[in-house]
Amino acid sequence: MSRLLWSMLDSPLTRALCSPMSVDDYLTTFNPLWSVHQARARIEAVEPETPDAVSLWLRPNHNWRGHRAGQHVVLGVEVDGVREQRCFTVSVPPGQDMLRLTVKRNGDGRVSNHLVDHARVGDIVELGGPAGEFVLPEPRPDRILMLSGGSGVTPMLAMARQLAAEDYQGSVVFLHYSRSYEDTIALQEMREMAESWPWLDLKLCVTEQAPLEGDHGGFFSAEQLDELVPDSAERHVLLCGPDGLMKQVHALHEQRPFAALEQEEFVAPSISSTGEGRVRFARSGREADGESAGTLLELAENQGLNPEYGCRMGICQSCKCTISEGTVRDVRNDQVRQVRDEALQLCVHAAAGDVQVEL
Amino acid sequence: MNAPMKFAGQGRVYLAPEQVEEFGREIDQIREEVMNDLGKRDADYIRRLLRVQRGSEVAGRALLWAGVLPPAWLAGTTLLSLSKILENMEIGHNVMHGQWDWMKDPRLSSGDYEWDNTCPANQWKHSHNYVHHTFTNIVGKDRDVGYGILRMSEEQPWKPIYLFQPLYNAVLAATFQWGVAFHDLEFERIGKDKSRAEALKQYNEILRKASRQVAKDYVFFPALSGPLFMFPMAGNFVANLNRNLWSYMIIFCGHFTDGVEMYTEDEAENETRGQWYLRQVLGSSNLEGGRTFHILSGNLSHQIEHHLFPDMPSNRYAEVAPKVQAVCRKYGVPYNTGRLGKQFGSVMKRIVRMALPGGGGREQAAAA
Repeated sequence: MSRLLWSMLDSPLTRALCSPMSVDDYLTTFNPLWSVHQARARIEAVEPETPDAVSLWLRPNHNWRGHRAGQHVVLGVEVDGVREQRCFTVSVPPGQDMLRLTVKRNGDGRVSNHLVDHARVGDIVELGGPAGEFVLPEPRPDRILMLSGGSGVTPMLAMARQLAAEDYQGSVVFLHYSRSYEDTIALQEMREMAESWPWLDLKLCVTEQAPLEGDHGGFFSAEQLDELVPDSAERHVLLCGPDGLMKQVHALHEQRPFAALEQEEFVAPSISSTGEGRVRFARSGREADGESAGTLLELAENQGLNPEYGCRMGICQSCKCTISEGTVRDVRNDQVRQVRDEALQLCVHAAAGDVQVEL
Repeated sequence: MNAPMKFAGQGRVYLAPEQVEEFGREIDQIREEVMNDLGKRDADYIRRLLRVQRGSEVAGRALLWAGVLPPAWLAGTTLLSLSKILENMEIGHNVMHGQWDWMKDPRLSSGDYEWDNTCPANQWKHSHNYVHHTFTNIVGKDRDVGYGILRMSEEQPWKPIYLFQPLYNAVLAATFQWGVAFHDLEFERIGKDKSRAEALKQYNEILRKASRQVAKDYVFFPALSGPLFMFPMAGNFVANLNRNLWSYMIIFCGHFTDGVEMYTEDEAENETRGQWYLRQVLGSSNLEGGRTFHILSGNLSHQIEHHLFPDMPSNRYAEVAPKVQAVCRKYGVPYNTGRLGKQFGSVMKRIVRMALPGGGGREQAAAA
């Protein structure tokens, strides 16, 4: 349907006709992808990547706003009847009619395990976002080092393809760490990229297996970096990977800085203490002690409220909600401040005194 | 134990306090089993029901648009009646109880849901979820005992106005959604322990909600039919009437049938959880019927189970009912159930009997 028709469906008259339900409540009855504002997508293909990872190809409806290479979506899926939301990086650049998300099994992770085991062609998912500041720098640096480990490869794939689409004239070293070939997401794809694009130099390191010819072994270290990427100090580093790798690269950056360092953080903030004061949820009329949970999001959930959320680590902005008044602490840096009528991410803020939340 | 536990139909008997708590624990056990088992099949049930309801509403309104043709009017009115009944009873009422909050679907969240009824959801949640479900059948506290206008229990002192209650009861049945809409204003408290300002705020909420409802049913949809507006307008009127009569009938069978116990405030003071469960069983009555009947009644046909577990998804009441009944049998607790005709007949009899002074007939009979 055309955009005009969609905008006609969301008018004061249609809303009055649907009252007290929303226009979407009726549209989804006929087709789960129909909505006047909610971005949703249909799973068009499920491709196995490794024994514990799959790639999902999604065709979004007209409400999808498009992303920038490196950004993630907040994916809403139903797991055994319960709606869950998680962030996944889009591993293709914008401008295509489908999105690809690569999902890796993750311990007890309800959502990732469900998607790896049960995602089927035809399933409908909700899309939130896009969000994330981990994107290609503007203007494009001449020399880039993409440094990734494990499933951290996904934003790199999108960014590399974005550079190719822009006819990039600089140089990229793509240094990727993986446990074994079998565990490497998009192994074939990376090799093909390196073959077709002369500006891309792929350095693949496998840490728990003998490397094939042309590849490398061993974990990240300053010595290895000097050997594989002698000019790393002049490169703009894009980093995404497991916590250990990120910390090591950071430590090195402190010692002898790269030209620049940008990274995607998939690490939850550590919450040092619980909140304080009294938290009032204005719309529902519920109240709780700030002490009873770490963050305002957890507090709201403990009260039986179901606020939107996504990453739960301050990235995706899904849980942003107006604080009418109160004293809050940002759990990422322990800064305490007074706020009034300000939208804050509930997942990274705790009560530091009495707080009123519009929930 | 602070109050004697009353047993319907056999006067007042006592159950040992330990037994009451044991009874409560067995009821809790039934609840736990189901609540830990909620999942995809329950989600599928409510989604399917939503599709049926929305589908019948859209089809019904489309047919009423062409309501000048008698078969279209008849089919449209039937489908719209069905949709309004399903939405109010099995969807709205149960969603607002929080039965589907576990799904974390914002469209089925008790905090956000607004139903197709002139009563604003937040006022309903106060008068129904809190007042009625907490103080069930406590005369003077549960405002659903007679809704402030009917005498339904001998514990309510008789007044001459009650002589007319069979008459105005019929009016209430036909306009039930309006009775529900103004219920939480609590007229009898205004100017006493409830401020006029608060009542005025509620009144404005009701007016806003009701005018949206009226505009939709009686202005906007009829207007779409142009000069033939009378047909959809009449269809909406009859559909609202059908929903009113049906919901009135089902709801009145929940707590006013023969043998249902009423309580005084003293009797229900300082209750334990076990005693609360007992009061819910003794103060409620079920209706027997097939699967479709249960769904159309919003599963309020399982009134006893609903009052024990108001936040359990209603599709599960049918499977817990035999278990609840077995526990009741084990403890000698009466379990009041019957066909709609019989149960509703006994409610009508009560309304007529209570119109007259006195009415402690059961106890006199028991004493004799």
